[in-house]
Amino acid sequence: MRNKTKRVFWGFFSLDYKAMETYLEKMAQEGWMLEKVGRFTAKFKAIEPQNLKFYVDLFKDGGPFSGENHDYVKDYRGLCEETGWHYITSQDYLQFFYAQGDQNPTPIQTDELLEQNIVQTSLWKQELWGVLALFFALIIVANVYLFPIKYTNLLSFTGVAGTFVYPLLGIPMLFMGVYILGWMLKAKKSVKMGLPLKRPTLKDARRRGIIFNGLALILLSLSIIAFIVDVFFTPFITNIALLPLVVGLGIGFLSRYLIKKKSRNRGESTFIGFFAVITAVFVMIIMSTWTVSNIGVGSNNNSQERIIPSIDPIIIFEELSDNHRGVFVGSEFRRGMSPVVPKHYDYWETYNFGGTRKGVRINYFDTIHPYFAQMIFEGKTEEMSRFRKLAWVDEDMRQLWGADRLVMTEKMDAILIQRGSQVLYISGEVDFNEQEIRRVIIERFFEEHL
Amino acid sequence: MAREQLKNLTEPMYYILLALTRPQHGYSIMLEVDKQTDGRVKIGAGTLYTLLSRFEDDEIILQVAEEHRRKIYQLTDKGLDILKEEYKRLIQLVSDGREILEGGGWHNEE
Repeated sequence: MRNKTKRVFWGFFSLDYKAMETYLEKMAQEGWMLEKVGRFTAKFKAIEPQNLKFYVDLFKDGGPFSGENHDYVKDYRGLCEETGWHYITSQDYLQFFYAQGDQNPTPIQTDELLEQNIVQTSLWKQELWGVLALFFALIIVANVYLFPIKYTNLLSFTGVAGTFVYPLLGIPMLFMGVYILGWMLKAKKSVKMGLPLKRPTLKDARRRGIIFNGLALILLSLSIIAFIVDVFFTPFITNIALLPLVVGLGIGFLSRYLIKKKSRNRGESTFIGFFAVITAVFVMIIMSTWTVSNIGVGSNNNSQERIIPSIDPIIIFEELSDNHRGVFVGSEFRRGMSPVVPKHYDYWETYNFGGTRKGVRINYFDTIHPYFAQMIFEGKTEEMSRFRKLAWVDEDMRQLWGADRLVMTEKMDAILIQRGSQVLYISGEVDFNEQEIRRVIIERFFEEHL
Repeated sequence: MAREQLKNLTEPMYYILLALTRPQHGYSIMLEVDKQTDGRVKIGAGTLYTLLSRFEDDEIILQVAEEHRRKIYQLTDKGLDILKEEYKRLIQLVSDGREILEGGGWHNEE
């Protein structure tokens, strides 16, 4: 026995709403009746294969803030039902109706000019604003978060996907914007000349749907995969990043459900929308305060047990300092990986030397290409110079360390080395001028490793 | 926008307003127009909904009652004036047409 329901990739571009009718008729002939339409998928239920007529109408008072129980929605649907069209479902402005194949009800729209006005004031505006908003959001995110490329973004799958893949989203958006404008100009011209609105063919509509929605879906899937991989490798950081996303989506879905199913009029919808925004802002403020106080500077997430990470290459405080009289205070090891930096970690250990805390911190990055190593080196250099004065490093010093690039602080308490595709940062109570220490570091990280 | 367009009523607009010279609900307007025009002018539910809400916004029609969740509308005085104006205009069009097509042609040709 075949399944009673199935979900299919919907992917129609909303301006192609007339092509959806042809698709739904075909599905009914194959024994599938539309039940629900979402952004990317539609749900169908099994029926006896039959000929049905479908009408997809644009409801001028529909949209994201229009609830299913609003009086004016009921009035509109009531009128359609009286003329022989049975209501199935709705998605924002689009309303889906059907009639038996042998019946011939009057089309829901009988005035081309009015219909085009509705397209212009509802769908067209919504689509164009949607594309513009996304486009600007992309530009803002690119400028604030992604470009110039931050080295921290190279360290996780999500960051790499964001830096190198998301900007591609601009391409389908540009196509979409041009298409919407072209569609509208053509529609206006048709109506002016007294010609009917051009009905898109199912084939064309499908092609557009795949270009616009398919690409967005691929990018979305990539982000989800990148995120899952990150959760697996660096659960702590990604869980923190996940929190606002989960809270935001939760508030979004809940308010949409309340607007669609529970609100009785436009005033209530607006109130729910407004309340959702206020709640989201409030929750974000509380969360950011919580995050800063809990995982900010002076992390308390350290281990009381001294851990010596089983990772190669690593160096511990004992090997860098002669002083063994310190009492262990804490240590922490966090490793991560990304497609361009397959191995990187942050390790620190601290000891108490008669009231004074001393220790070492190591950041190690093993990248796939010196290009990325250089980016990390430059990012780290900038980070170091924010809090400490950097010393001028001469050619001899650089050669002494066998480094392609080298940076040291003026107080000689931190060093940053790039050699080939590797970057190493060490800071702490270490005498970097000591020949033996230098030899151990070079051998451990750059020679043994090769 | 609507008022500007109402200077000349479209055919469906004219028949809807004619139907609303007495109280009617949406579906009965459709039936009435269909009957009055022998099925020549068909008004879809979506088109009717759009026009009724536009007429109501422009105070050309008014909701006078509600029966079994159906809103019943009727023309206002303003609406009646607009309809009469349109009627006069149409009479003028017909009379001009008659003069030329059934009479002796254009005046300046005499």
